[in-house]
Amino acid sequence: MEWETTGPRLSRDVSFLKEHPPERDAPPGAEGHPLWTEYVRYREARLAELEQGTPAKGPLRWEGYLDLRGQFIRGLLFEQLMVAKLRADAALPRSQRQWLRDFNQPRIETHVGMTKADLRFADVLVIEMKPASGQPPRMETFSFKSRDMHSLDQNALRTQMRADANGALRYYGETVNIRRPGLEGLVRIQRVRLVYEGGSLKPSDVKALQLLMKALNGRIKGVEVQFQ
Amino acid sequence: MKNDNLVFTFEGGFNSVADPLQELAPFLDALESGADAWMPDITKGKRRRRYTRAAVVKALAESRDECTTSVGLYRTTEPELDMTLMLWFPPQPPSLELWLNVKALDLFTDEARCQAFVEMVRAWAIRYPVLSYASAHSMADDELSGDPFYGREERVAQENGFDQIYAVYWLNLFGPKLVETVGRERMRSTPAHRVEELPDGSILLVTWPTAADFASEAARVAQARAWVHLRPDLDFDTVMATLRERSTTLAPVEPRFAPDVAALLSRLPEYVSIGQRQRRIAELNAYVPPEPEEWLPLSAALPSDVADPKAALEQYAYFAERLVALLHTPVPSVLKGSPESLTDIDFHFWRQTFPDTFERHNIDAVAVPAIGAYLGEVLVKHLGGQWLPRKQWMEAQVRVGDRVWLPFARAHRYMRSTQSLLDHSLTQLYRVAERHSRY
Repeated sequence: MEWETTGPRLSRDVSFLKEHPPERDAPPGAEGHPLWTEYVRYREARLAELEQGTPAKGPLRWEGYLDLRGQFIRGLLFEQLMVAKLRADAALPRSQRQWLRDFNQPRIETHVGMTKADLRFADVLVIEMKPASGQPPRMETFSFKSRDMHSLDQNALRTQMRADANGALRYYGETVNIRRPGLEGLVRIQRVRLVYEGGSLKPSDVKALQLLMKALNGRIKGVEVQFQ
Repeated sequence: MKNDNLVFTFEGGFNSVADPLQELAPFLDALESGADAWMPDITKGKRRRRYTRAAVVKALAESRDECTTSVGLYRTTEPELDMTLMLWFPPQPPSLELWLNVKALDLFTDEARCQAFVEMVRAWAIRYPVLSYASAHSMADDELSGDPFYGREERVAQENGFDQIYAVYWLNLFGPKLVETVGRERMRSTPAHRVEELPDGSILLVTWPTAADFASEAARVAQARAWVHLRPDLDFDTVMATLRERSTTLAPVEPRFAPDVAALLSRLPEYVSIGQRQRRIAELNAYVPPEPEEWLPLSAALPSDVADPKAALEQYAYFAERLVALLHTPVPSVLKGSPESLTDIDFHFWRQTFPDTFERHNIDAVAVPAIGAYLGEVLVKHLGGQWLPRKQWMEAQVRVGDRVWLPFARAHRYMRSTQSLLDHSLTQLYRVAERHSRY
């Protein structure tokens, strides 16, 4: 019998898999990882097929699974793309900017820890380096979301976008306590921008989306929703 | 017309301090008597419940935040319905907002049903006076009309809304301000199927008895007459030419996709907006992917050159399992390794614009071997194929009938771009291999 216990894959033996459920061999910290629940589902699906006698493969170990999945995380790429766009925008003369028109000289910081209810990391914090005299520097935060919203019905879309906007405001808006060394302290965030990835992930009906955007942007103060 | 919807959007005044059940009763009365074949049977707030008035109120209560709430209303059977009732509360200006999308415009060829719909809207408008403008129309034609921007910048359109007669639709509710802008007398004398002044000073205008045949010549003439009457600056012939062009764009096109890739192509049209869908079907009807080239006649097959064929096969199996691990959440059928899984995978990568999104290095080093091995395994499992392993995995072949296929070479070409996912799909290669498996 092949156990494959040292290779990248686990055995396809049902009794072995049952005796070694994912949580039993989980390395420290794995169970808190965002991909862990997906990994557990993957293991369960593979085990179910093997139990039915389907000639399935032995599943990947957690380490290999994590490494593989980590190379194709869409949200991470979108975030990198947006940060690059913001940096390019910041370098333009103010009148030509698309995103950062309200800043004289914007400085862009990424993954900035801030506490309100609990510790969260804002994707981007923009700080005014040349505030008008006597004024505290303007600060804005950005939250990027790579969410497939193409097939959501109108109420589901509304509920999702409201939850995202409320969440962005709660964690990265109003008054926050910045934890990044050198920037520490209580500051007022003038505006939170919630930016969704567009393209094929965007809802396809323009009118439906526009109605929601109008309602969100017109009626939730301090947060602005956009599609890229 | 198939593939089109009737959409009605509305925002009216609402008494937010009244008892919600009482305040909503006239809304639900009108809905229940106006809706027949498209009446919702499900409500959804935080939880899903069978439609009752109490369920609507419960959903609104459980979804409530500081200034707003909403309830989704749906149907469990055809025709599909996507309806949302939203309420706004102080400090926002209190209002009742509605999104109503009946996903079967052809229901509205029936004149009595259309009349019932108009009566329902009329009842709503009397009880919850329209704030500025509301309309009901074909969703596809509405999109082509330029709604909601009408050529304006997004920000300007959001601020100003429907502040002049940008278009006229099947059913129109003009709020008092818009009526004053155009002139009450002019609006009252519009040539139309129905024009009625409502108690709050707004005007209900229906251009034609039925909503579904909006693209017919007669309905277009009625629409154009009403529009140029309300917009004397517009020329009838020019307006008619625009409307006829819209009708042409929306003329239904029967899908006739290339058979080997029909299963894949049939899933693409819904990813353009509804107004462009018939054009997209026509475009896909004309599209024929090139014949697969990733094969050799059996006589030209590269002989296996590996010392340990079993280990090579194990490696391919491992590669294939990595595709399962990568896709099991978005594409559950990947666990099955069936010909249909291949189409689901093609579609998923296309939707994600995968080759144009992720890093080239990861695609070539990780995705390509996983996809090639998976494709090879499906050929083995479903067409009785046999692996001919090679030291260079890119050269590995699967023998099926009188051909040997190069699944890794196919995967490599497939992953060049989002377009090449269609030009060199897994779906197509499988179908062609299947035809050659019986020789």
